[in-house]
Amino acid sequence: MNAQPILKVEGLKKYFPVEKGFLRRVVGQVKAVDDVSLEIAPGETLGLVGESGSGKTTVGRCILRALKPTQGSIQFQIAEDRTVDMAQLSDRELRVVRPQANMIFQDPFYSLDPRWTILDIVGEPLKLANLAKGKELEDRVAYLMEVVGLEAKHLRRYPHAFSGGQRQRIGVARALATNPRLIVADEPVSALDVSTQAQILNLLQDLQREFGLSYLFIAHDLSVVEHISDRVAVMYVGKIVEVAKRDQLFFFPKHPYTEALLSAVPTPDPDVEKERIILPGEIANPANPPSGCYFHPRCRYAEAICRDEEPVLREVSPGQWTSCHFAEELSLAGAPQGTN
Amino acid sequence: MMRDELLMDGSADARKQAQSIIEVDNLSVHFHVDEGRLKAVDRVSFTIAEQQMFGLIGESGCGKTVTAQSLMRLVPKPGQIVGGSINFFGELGGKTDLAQLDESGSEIRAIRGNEIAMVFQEPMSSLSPIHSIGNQLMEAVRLHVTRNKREAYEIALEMLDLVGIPNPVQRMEEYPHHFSGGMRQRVMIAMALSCRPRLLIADEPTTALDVTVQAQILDLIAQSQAQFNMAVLYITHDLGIIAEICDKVAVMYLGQIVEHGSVRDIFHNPLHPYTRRLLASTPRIGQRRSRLQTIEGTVPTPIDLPIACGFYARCPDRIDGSCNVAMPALVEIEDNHFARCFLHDERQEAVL
Repeated sequence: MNAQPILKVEGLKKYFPVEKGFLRRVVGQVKAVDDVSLEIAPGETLGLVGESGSGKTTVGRCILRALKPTQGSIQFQIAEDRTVDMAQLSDRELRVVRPQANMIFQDPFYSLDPRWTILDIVGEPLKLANLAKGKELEDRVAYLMEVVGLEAKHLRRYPHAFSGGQRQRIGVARALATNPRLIVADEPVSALDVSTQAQILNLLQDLQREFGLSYLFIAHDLSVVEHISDRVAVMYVGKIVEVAKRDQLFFFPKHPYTEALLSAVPTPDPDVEKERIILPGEIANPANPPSGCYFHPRCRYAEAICRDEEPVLREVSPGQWTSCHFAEELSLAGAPQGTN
Repeated sequence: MMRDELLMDGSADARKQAQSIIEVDNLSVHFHVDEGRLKAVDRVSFTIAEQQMFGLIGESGCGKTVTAQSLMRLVPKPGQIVGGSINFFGELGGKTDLAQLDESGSEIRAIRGNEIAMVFQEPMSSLSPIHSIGNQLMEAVRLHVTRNKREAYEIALEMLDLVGIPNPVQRMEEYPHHFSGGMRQRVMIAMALSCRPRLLIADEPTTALDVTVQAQILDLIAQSQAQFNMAVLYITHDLGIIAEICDKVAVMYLGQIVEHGSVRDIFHNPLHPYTRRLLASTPRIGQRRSRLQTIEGTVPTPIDLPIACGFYARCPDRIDGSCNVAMPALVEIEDNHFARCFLHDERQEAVL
């Protein structure tokens, strides 16, 4: 039943050194990603949520090897019978693997080079991988334009001629160009208006069905993540604190941070009564995290053990992994359900 | 709750009791650009009652921010108020038409930042990086409340404490870059509240913030509103926020208010096809839908548009022969519930 995962990340760490003084002595480490493990099945969407500074973007960038991980393995199935460890690949080997995994960026206004035509932008990954050139390249780009709902005749235009939603479609076309198996989408709709956002979300779902894509969908908007994900992982200060199937996570959270996040999402229904948990303070500094459970200074259920001992991520109910000392005892509130 | 009943109840008596603080009538703001005349705000009318939480919702480019800027008389060049009135009811009951005032005159300066205060989306761009937080707060206080430095310091300190900034005495000495995004927004709110405004304009104050910090700021705005008896004009693109905190809502599209009513009217009985589509395209937790509804096409640029409903080209319910040849008027369809749509009323509006 459990298909071989297309991506299996184990013990991923990414530390950034803190340097000081003329000699750039290393005086500390920012543990941006600290021991993260996750899996994505073929055709699955894993949502990755967390606040700014939680390390979710760094996880995405390490998986695509835009950043070199400090430690850990990233097993990526590049073909039915071949799996490579992205963390160990040399630059030369990466060039062969790269077409299999692509990224969609947040801001369609900054991520597209204004001096390049759409043909250049969407065709670049194909050229880099020596997959197509000349007429063949143009045909492929024209086809991709149609796949994402743009007119093929516009492929010699520049990005400024397109609206925000159309630019994000161009970003999607570029990510699709090399027929990848995995797409890391980093806040792909957060710069868009609601109506445009809906178009891009629908497009991503259609493409997933059509091409059997797997997504790592990084976002801070929980309503969007709930809509698109099969499973969801919640990050806090470089660690995954909870990961579960979508409905488990949204309606039966076991980690107090997940509960607080869910309660903070504004519900578009004036008749929904709910308790909004106002977390005191702000997300901890990953260069100087608190002792024990990183969340304990803000947690309303915290007890002495939370300050002294770091909880481990463990399976607290089938398919639901939580790192909280009291995951089994606490009865936490899920997201409120609207009436319409 | 008394206040809620007062504002929700549509009866004529209740309407009389709620005193207006600002009445915007037929306000138009145009920008003269190379391509022509851009109608950023096109005959917008709304009234905010005292102590009301009034939401203005719309997507980027719909004119919600320019509307707010006009109330403060801060419309950037080449924008110009070309018509309409903005009647502001002062503390002593006097009525001032803000649209008629000189943009940099003493009258508007006595109101701006004092009786009407504003909080912006990006607090960093509104705070000076080279002055301490304390000095910036005290400047606002000394301009409007007291000339006395000692008193101004006390007020500034009290305000920082009130908006939940820990160690206010020490924080007064620090500079904006020492503060996180959420803390800066608290400072902005402290600054806005320091002159005890009667109307607070909040323009997407939480858009740049994380959801847990957003919850803190929304809580703070709601608390301050109750504490200071202010009215709030809350501008956002987030339907969730509108539903949680607002009493009344106006929906803007292409420079116009297309629908206007109580928060329940807008969410449970939307009349305008744009409002309906906007609600349907918003993902909601717990709603099992495989696809979201979308709004076809994109928002046109409001320059030299034909005389037609602005939503015509994208509207799933358009009536050819009506919607594309005339501009519908904003009409009260139900009690205190207005919409600008030929589906509900055939009255037209003359186009400027």
